[in-house]
Order: sequence, then structure tokens, then C-alpha cells
Amino acid sequence: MKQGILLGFFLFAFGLCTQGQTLSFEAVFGEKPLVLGTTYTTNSGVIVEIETLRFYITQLQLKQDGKTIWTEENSYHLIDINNSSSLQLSIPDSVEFDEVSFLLGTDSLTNVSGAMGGDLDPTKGMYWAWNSGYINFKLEGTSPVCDTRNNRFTFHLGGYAYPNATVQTVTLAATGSAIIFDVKAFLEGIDLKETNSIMSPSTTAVALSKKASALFKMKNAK
Amino acid sequence: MDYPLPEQVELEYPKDWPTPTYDFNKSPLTVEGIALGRKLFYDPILSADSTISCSNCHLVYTAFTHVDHDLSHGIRDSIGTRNSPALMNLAWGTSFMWDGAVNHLDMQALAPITHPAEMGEDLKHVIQKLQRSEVYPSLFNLAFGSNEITGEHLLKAIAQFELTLVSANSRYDQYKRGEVEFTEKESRGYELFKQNCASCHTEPLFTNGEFENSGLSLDSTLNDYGRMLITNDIYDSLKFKVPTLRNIEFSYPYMHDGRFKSIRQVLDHYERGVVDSKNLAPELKGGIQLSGNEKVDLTTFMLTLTDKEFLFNPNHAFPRN
Repeated sequence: MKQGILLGFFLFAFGLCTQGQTLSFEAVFGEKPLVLGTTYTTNSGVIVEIETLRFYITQLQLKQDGKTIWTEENSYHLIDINNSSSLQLSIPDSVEFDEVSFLLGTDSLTNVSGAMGGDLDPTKGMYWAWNSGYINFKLEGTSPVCDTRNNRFTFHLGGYAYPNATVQTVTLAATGSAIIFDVKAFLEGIDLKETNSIMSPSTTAVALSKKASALFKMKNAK
Repeated sequence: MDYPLPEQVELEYPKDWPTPTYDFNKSPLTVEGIALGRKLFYDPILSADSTISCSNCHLVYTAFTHVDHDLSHGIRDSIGTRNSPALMNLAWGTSFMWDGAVNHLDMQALAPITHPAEMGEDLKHVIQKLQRSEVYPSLFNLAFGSNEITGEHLLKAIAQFELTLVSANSRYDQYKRGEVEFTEKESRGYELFKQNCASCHTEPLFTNGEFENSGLSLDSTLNDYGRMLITNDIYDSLKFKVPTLRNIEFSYPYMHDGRFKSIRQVLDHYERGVVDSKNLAPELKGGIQLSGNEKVDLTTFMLTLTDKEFLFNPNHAFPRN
């Protein structure tokens, strides 16, 4: 009897989950899905392996005809390619929208507000202890062209204060089934021999954040 | 097990002081939070090899600094590059560390916990250790309503204890409240202070919270350019946080690298040791010229900033219960 009630509860809870819409994120390397720990070749013939791809999606909004019709409280999502549950953001079933908008990264107020929980908890490894502020976007991997320890490249893009604020707005027409980010396109034009370790706020971090924000696309969008 | 709600308390400070910068509405002080933070402050569990606690470099009886050490040391006898700052009146802080690397008191403890030459730990690992301990999960529950320890709650607890470190009952404070009279020497020293020091060491906190180049030469064994390392702005080269002068009698050695052992050495530096540069604090152009007697008077005034009640407050010391 007790089991029956429990099972009923689970079905009910599961039902609630599946009823809502989700906004999903996928990472790709060119035409292929991104698999961590796999080697890929960039357009310039450089071999790379990706170990980490994580970034903050915040202030998520849904719009219809240019008007914001849905926002959420505490809209902070740490998207981690290595954590599949982080790739699905739930949005209410009832809303119809033609545009999705969010910040890639965290705004300056968030960066000066002290210790925060959930996806913003400093245990997530996305906070700089010795130059306060969130790492908004983290891409780590290896490439034989990197003349660094263990051939590592490390892109930790962050910084909230002028002139090195890295947070970027992304707006996408809601024409597809998922939001994709192409790591191959991100690495295009970066000479990993020269630029392989970004770990503090800088003009390079700002430029790479702008570049990253422009690479979010709707899957199957025409 | 259900725990009672934590009991909120108000930070006590003089009525004529500015409003604290710390947002107590967002993170209210509680009896349980302060007690937990105090326990954590004195617990070496925060360091990689469980040898170093916050109190190793911030000793209660010396205004929470590392007395008699020019540079502070951490686990495995590693030596850092700076003198540990005295801790007091942190609720009014606008930035933390000598170079302002940390922008909020909550986040300050992260820096020493993770620095290889200080506690050399990883925040996640600290939390695992605390979660496994017999006492901490229930103490976190008492303070924050959950047995599950998070980075947020760990940092907020330490901040809560640090916020209670208010020094506001020195002889100077008693004089300002009309409870005692200054001696002639102290009064002369106070006048000299107001003329020569107060623009940076602003009352009542005795710091304006800004970064200044005080004409210290670069120590080539450390190559510490201070604020510039944070802002990448050449104008911030060799600028360091203006430290409070409260309890200065006990917080020696002085300056970011502890290069001066006595107040007299500091005053001698300001008289004839100031290195001129484009971003030197303008008040220090040409140095601060004081006679020997004036230096004695000024020092006498600075000793009125000693707050014995603060230094020997049993609520700040190692928790023995």
C-alpha cells in the first residue's frame, strides 16, 4: 500500500516535469557533438582536446513580439557540459514566445554581492578568490601546440568592472529545438601557441567574451 | 531533528559612526552564525594539513594581526608576501586585502583558504571535512537551517564573526564622548594628527578605505606593486590600502610588508624616506616635516587609539566551551 502511494507520487512528480517546456543547451565542435576527452582538429589543422566547458546563463527572458513575457527570480544557471542535468532549463508550459534572451555571464551587482548559493556557490569553481569576481565562461583543454605545462590551454573569462566587464547579452529567435555553442568556431582565429592562458580580467577576456556570445545559435535555425 | 530559528542580533557601534557598508538586511547577524564563525576562525580544519587557522596570523590580543612577523607564514612554513592586516571594524570595509583584491567581506576568507602559502586548501575539500565532522553539520543547521554545508554558509559564518570585531572604546573614543580629558601632549598630538594624517586616516575609522602610494620604495625581493596587480592600471603602481590606525600600538610591524617595526620608523619615513613619483599621495610631497617633540606628541595621540576592551574581549578569543 505504502509503495503504491510512493509510486503514485513519483509518477505525479515526473508528470509535472515532463509537462513543462525545457530550453536545452548543446555543445558542438563544428558538425559533431562535443564529447569531452575526444580529440578534434580545428580549421587551421591544430589538434585539440576539450576537458571543461562551463558558463553562466543568467537573467533568462522569453519574449513575444519584442515584449518580455516571462522572467524568473534568481535566474542563474551554470551550464556544464559535463553535467547533463545542467543542460536543461525548465520554462513554463503555458508561454508562447518567439525570442529567447539571456546574459552570458553574471552582471556586476552579482559580482559585488558577497557569498551566494546554488549555482553561484563558490564551491562550483567559478569564482576568483584573489581578484574577486565570477568566472563567466570557462573552456579548458589541451593541444600539442601549447607550450605550457601538460600542453594545457585555459580560458577563464571574467571581470565585471569597467573597462574589463565581460558579461554579454545574447538574443536568439526561437526557431529551433536547442541552443548550441560551437567550440570549433570559438577557437577559430585564436593562435593557441600565443594565446592559451587567460585567467584574469583583461581586454582579451572582453574580446573573447564578445566572440563567445555571438556563437550561441538556435539548432536547426535557418 | 528540528532546530529553533537562529536568533538575530544587531551590530553595536557608536551612533555617530557612518552606516556600515555590509548589508545586514541581506545577511543578518545571528547568535548561532557568529558562534559558528568564531569556531571556524579558530579551527585549523580550514587548512590543507590542519595546522593553520585564521587565528595563526590574526591573533586576538594584537588586534588580530600577526605580531612581530613582517611577512605572514602559512602551512609547511611557507612565507607569504605581505604582513597580515589587523582585523577590526570590517563592517565598514569597502574592499579587503592590502591591494583590494577582495570586494566583499563574505569572499575574503576564500583567499587565505585557497592560497598555497597560507592554508593551501580547496573550498570543496574543506566542506567535505566539515560535513564529515561530528559537530559542524548541526552547528550549520543551527545557524542556517540545513545540515548540508555549502560554500555560501561557510563564508557567511566566518564573515559574521569578523563583523562583530568592532573597536570603538579606546581612550580617543572616550575623549570624543566627553568621558575623559586628553593630556596636553595628547591634545597637541591630536592637532598634529588632524593637520598631517587625517586626510587618509580619516576619523572615526582612521582610514578612508582608499589606496595610496605612501612613498615606500619597491622591495626588490618581493616586487609587490600592490593595487596595480588587481587593476592593471599603471596609475595604481605601489598603491596599497590605507590601514586603520586603531590599536596601532599592538599591530606592529607596519606597512604592507611589515618593513617598519615602530611608529617612530614610520614617522621617520614620512619625514625623509618618501620616494617621489607621479602617483604619490599629494599630501606626502616633500614629506611630513615634524620635530622630534612633535613626533613624540603625535605618537602619544596614536596610543590613545588602543582599545583594551576590544583586545581582551572574551567573545573574540578562542571559544573554550
